[in-house]
Amino acid sequence: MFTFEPARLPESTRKLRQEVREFLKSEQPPGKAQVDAWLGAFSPDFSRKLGKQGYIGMTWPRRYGGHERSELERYVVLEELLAAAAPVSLHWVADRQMGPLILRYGTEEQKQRYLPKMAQGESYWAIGMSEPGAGSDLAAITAKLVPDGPGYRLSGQKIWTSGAHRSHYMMTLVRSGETSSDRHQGLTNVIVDLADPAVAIRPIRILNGEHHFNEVFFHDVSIPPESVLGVVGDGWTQVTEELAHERSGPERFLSTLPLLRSLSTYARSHDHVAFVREIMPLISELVTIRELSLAIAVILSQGGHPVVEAAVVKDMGTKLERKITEVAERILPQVPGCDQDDFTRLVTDSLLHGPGFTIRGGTNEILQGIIARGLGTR
Amino acid sequence: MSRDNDMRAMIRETATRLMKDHMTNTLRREAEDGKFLGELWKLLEDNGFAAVEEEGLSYPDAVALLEVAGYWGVPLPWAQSLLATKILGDAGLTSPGGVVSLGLQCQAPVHMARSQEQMTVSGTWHCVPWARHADTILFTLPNGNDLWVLQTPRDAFHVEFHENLAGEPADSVQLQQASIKTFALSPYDLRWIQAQAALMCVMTAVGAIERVLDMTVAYAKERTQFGRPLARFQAIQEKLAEMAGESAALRAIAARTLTAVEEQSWDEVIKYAGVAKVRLPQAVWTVTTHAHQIHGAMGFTQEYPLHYYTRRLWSYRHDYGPERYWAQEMAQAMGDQDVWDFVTGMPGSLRMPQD
Ligand SMILES: Cc1cc2nc3c(=O)[nH]c(=O)nc-3n(C[C@H](O)[C@H](O)[C@H](O)COP(=O)(O)OP(=O)(O)OC[C@H]3O[C@@H](n4cnc5c(N)ncnc54)[C@H](O)[C@@H]3O)c2cc1C
Repeated sequence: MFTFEPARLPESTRKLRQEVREFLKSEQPPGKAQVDAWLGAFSPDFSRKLGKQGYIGMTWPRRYGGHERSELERYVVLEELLAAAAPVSLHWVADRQMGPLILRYGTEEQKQRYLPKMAQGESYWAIGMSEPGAGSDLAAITAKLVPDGPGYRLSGQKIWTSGAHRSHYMMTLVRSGETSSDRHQGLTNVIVDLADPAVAIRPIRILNGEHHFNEVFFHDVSIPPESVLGVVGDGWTQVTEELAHERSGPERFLSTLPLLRSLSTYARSHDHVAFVREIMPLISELVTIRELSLAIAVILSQGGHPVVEAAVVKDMGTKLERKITEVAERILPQVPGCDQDDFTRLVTDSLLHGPGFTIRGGTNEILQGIIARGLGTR
Repeated sequence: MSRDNDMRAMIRETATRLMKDHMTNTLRREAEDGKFLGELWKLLEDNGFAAVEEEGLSYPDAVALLEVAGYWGVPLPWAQSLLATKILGDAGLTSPGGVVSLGLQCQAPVHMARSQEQMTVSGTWHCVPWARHADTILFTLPNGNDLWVLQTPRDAFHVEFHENLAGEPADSVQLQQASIKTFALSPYDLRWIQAQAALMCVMTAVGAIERVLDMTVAYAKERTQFGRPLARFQAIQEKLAEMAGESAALRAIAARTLTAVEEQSWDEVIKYAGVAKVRLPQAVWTVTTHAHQIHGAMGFTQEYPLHYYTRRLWSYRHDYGPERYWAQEMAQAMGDQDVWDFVTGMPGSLRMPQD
């Protein structure tokens, strides 16, 4: 049903992979491997080093601080960072979606102002889409942008905003026009400076007590015209494209890779039957989904919009992340929670982080709807 | 590379047209009732699709062609013939023409005596596809550290009829003091041959899954209950989406394996064919289960053609090594490597959780 060319990583990426591994060996801060590190583990120093090394904004034009590398080269760097559970959460969103979004829709001034700092690993961004009344139904947002003098004024709130408390800016989807019968009209993306005193950020703790996401309130935040991304009213098109970047990356199936590595090492020496019967199928799924995701990286690099394909990868990838946890729990000799060793600790973390995998970035039900539509069912 | 791709697209197109024009449910039924589809076979031969030849169909193109075989549920030893002629050619034996099958599973005890010109062999091979209709069977025969390939004509073997889940011949074949004049040391070891057979099986399954998905989407759009097409129900859409995902996944890993075939990186072919054969059961299970569920009672009948594909898919899970076998092979190929090193095919990744 879906068309894609198999992607073959060019020989040159072997050298790059080696380079990344060397880099990680000398620069990754010490600490224990974690699941879901791309969302939770952070280090300003490490982000800066990655920037210096040329591993952020890799595909962007040089004149905006990018490095004009290929999409597949970027892919190799990302997957090595994820495999190593490196602390990349601070700059992840900027690199993955806000940079490309500004590159595509931003004004020249916005590009010059924001992109170089992003590529240096010094500018952190949050995603301001969800609201209390607008989750899966994103077009139901009500945060309101109204004209005010030469610029605008923003009121309302966002919720579930990952890393807002550590970010400099939030790309914020707001309602700028009257609600008409076509709810996709009248939406606009604005760049909100999170240091603005009219912005209030309140933590929401996730299952295990970590502070990961937030509520963000706008108390009549003044938005200058130069903070509007592209054209007023163009928000829905932008957000749709943004989501293809958000959904197709290797982080959508590698969140529990550290657990799979640990599980595999354990089973190989303690439970060979499980190693063969249960771990090999997981690895086979991993290899397979990676091929699919690579193929999408190629489509993206050719300027395509693999919205349906990205939904396939995220749907299957997040299910694999959960399945790894389930199998690990079955094989684990300890009780999760009593974390005397790394294997047990990783199972505990995966269990407590797991429910988020199939929700964030669009729930699996919504993704399946997108795929079904791709099959022509509606 | 792109000329190769054009060539392949053309071959697939031609084969697809051939199938569109000639392959019918009536033929599928007749084949299952025991008739050999000689005319269809002749068409494959005439178009150069039945054998791998130096001057004809290349091996990678042959593998890719099997997707068409799967999509059209072609009841012929097409895959076997392609692989057998590939091996015979590389062993320096001339292709015999006609219907060629492949016997890989030989059961001890096998006796052989060899002189310069001939080999006398007794033994039994199981699960030989279409043996009863084969003009020639290529048997593999392990002997000490050697692997022999025997090109065995029809009059030299005895066939005991068996069928697989799809009602296709999967016969047992006996050689009793058979004297065989055309034989050679195999250019490939048994692992190589098994991996190729597994890949052929996966490729055929990719095609069959695509067909089942097409049929199911079409049925869901057409069949109306509660005043609307089934495809409008979210519960049905969810199943269709899962089927599409599984289809894309198996296709992706099959394509990766085929790339390795093109590059003749045989170690990679063995690795990825194993990975694909371990991945196949999930795809087959999900796709066939949902397809039958969505088709309701209609899909449960012999009259409705869904089963030509679903029953074949159920067999592919077992043909040329079930996942039990290939998981073992994978584990062996992985050895002491870390998961990520194995996945990327490159040793030396860091930060094992145990660090
Ligand atoms: C860890 C994490 C991080 C996040 N980070 C951010 C962030 O940085 N920025 C941001 O903007 N948002 C973020 N989100 C929010 C996320 O995008 C939303 O949670 C998600 O879109 C779902 O919305 P909801 O939680 O309101 O669930 P709801 O939309 O209320 O859905 C609840 C359940 O109903 C199902 N459902 C809803 N509609 C349908 C339908 N039409 N058909 C079938 N089933 C349906 C859903 O699939 C789900 O199972 C984050 C969420 C998580 C878990």
